[in-house]
Amino acid sequence: MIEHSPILRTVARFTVPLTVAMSVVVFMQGHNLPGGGFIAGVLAAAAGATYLLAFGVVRASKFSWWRLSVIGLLIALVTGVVLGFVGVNFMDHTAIEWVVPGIHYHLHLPTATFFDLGVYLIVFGTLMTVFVELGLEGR
Amino acid sequence: MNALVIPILWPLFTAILLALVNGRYKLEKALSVLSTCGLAGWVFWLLWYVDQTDAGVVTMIVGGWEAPFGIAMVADRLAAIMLCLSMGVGAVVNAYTCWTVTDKQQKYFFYPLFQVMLCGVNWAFISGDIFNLFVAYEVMLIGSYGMMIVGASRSQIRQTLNYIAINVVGSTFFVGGVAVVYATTGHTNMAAIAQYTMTLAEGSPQAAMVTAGSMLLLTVFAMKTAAWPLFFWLPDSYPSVPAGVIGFFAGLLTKVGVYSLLRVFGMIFQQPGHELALDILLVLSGFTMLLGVLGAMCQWEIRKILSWHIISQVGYMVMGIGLCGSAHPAIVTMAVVGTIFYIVHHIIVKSCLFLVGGIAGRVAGTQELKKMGGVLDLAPGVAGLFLIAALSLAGMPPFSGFWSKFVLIRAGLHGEHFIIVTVAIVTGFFTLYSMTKIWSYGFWGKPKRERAAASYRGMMIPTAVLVVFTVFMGVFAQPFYRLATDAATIVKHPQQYIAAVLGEEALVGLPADTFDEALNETLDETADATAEPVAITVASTNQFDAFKSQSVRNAHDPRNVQVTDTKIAASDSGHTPETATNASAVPDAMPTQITHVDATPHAPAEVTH
Repeated sequence: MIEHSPILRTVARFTVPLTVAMSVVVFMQGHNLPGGGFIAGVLAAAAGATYLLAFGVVRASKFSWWRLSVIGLLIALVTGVVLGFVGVNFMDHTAIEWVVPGIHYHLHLPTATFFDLGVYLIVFGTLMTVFVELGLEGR
Repeated sequence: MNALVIPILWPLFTAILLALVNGRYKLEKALSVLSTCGLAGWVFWLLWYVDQTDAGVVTMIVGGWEAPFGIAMVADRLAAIMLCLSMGVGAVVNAYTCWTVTDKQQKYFFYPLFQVMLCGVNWAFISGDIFNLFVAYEVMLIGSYGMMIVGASRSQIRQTLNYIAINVVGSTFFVGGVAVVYATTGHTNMAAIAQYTMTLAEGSPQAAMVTAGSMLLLTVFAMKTAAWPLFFWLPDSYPSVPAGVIGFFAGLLTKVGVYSLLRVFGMIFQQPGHELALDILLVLSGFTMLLGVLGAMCQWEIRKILSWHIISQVGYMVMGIGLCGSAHPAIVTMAVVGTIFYIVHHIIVKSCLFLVGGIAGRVAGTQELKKMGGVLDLAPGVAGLFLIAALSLAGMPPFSGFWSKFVLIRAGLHGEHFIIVTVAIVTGFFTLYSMTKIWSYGFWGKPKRERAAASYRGMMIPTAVLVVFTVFMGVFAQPFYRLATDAATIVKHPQQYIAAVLGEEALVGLPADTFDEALNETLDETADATAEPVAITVASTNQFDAFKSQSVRNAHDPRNVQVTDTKIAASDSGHTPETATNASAVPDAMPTQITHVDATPHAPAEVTH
């Protein structure tokens, strides 16, 4: 079984955290540069898939991954609706400007980030559900 | 009106909520029914609201872009009627499924998927953008794939794969058609496309391209409505849908296609040569009707018979859309009114028949006609519900089916499409025959068991709601007729729709809205030409009614005061059948008043001068 391969395990210890970090970077740069919720979610799921291959599917199957997708959908929808209430149209967007006190860091946070976070969770949750279910097949 | 996204968002939020409480089955049922009923109430309010506005159109632009570029959500009367139907039938079906759904189905997200399907259907009705319509179709289809495969038995997976395959092909055509239209017109907004196509010159390359794109869309919608020759997927896949929800599938999903046909070919594509699509639809409808009913006649299982009947009934609605190609404005109005009336009638009755068929199957323990029998003795109430719904489907007089068929056939006779009218009447007879078959094999005869095979009494309550509605709609047809007539004017006056979505200035350079004037000229002629006295009364009353409401909505001119008063007097007593008889009692007085109105151009047309 591929699960017991020591080479894969050793490599996975490095690549899984690296891929997760990469996914966060791609997610954050997505507003102005290539990247964003969808591709970052796929990267995170790639990290998850590597983990499943190296360490087995049993531990991961304890968590119901589809809940992540549902929560992601909720976040994305709420972002649209909240903006509808504050005066702009449904699914319009604006940005939160905030100078962090003390360090004088100017935070520019577009509301599209929250929508993208929802997309990220949907993609990650759905792909993980598929991987785990396929991994459990035949057990 | 920012609230127009509610019919889309409400079911989606409900779906999320239901998915999060997955596992608590009773709570899930209760929440789902509550949410659907609540939205149904809101949607009926929306219909009232839209109906009492001047233009009869309520719009909303999603996102931060202006009308032709931002995505428009548009609720005109037609869309609001369709929303009411989808949520009304949705609520009924949702209540019904509380008795049929199994724990295993609920575990695999039965109710969240149902809500997603509702979301997609509502979205398709309210969308004012043709690419957005495509997205709505996809959402609806994803929900329906899930509903079909829930439980995942071997036969379900086989049928669902077919269903997915055919729909993926359909979606590809859809995107292709939208792409061609977009490349030619530069818009996906329905109002903007209509505005563009109305100004195209005869024989211009753009007109040809738009017609080509519209043919691709015609293929897609014909596939979704299950019109001949693309109906083969329907009788194959519908019987594997879980009990109860099949009522929603049968009633709504194919009718989304009919609605799109009416919207797209009745309103959006106005280029020279757009009649081609309507002529094609007229030919398709004849084959659809006849072959559908012939297929139904040789089936021996209730679900299969009813599935084939969906096809044959779709033929009538497509026939109505095809008759819009007539040059005669009175016939066009009649055809659109008939189509809308038929859609309303069909959605209610068809869902109802599937639900009653399901109950009868539960009582007898099987849906195979040859093994059934004696349901009349075992459960007389169920037999009564079935009888009314079946007679209504076949078009018997006191029920809604009669009026809808009557108007369509009358429009066909005036348009001198005698072949299609003959086919329609023959199909009606065959429909009656196959309903009689279900009745005599399933309901008459000696019961094959002592008592009902499963409990069924609770399920009769939601079903009875639909039966009551079809009786009500047949007996008090006039208010529904008035609504359908007003909805038809919106579809046949693209100028009003364009002005509501893009603003009055969008009408500059468009041909003036002469539909009413043309209708008025031909009105006397129509009345004289007919030899059926009863028929004249009904149809011409409605044309007058349409006129009056039309003229009052545009009566900003003091010269119109006289007519406005008449209208107020009429509306004070409500649009009851009594008003109708009053109006028809003085047919001589009416045309003079209308001619009077006619002398003054109404508001949208004034812009062009």
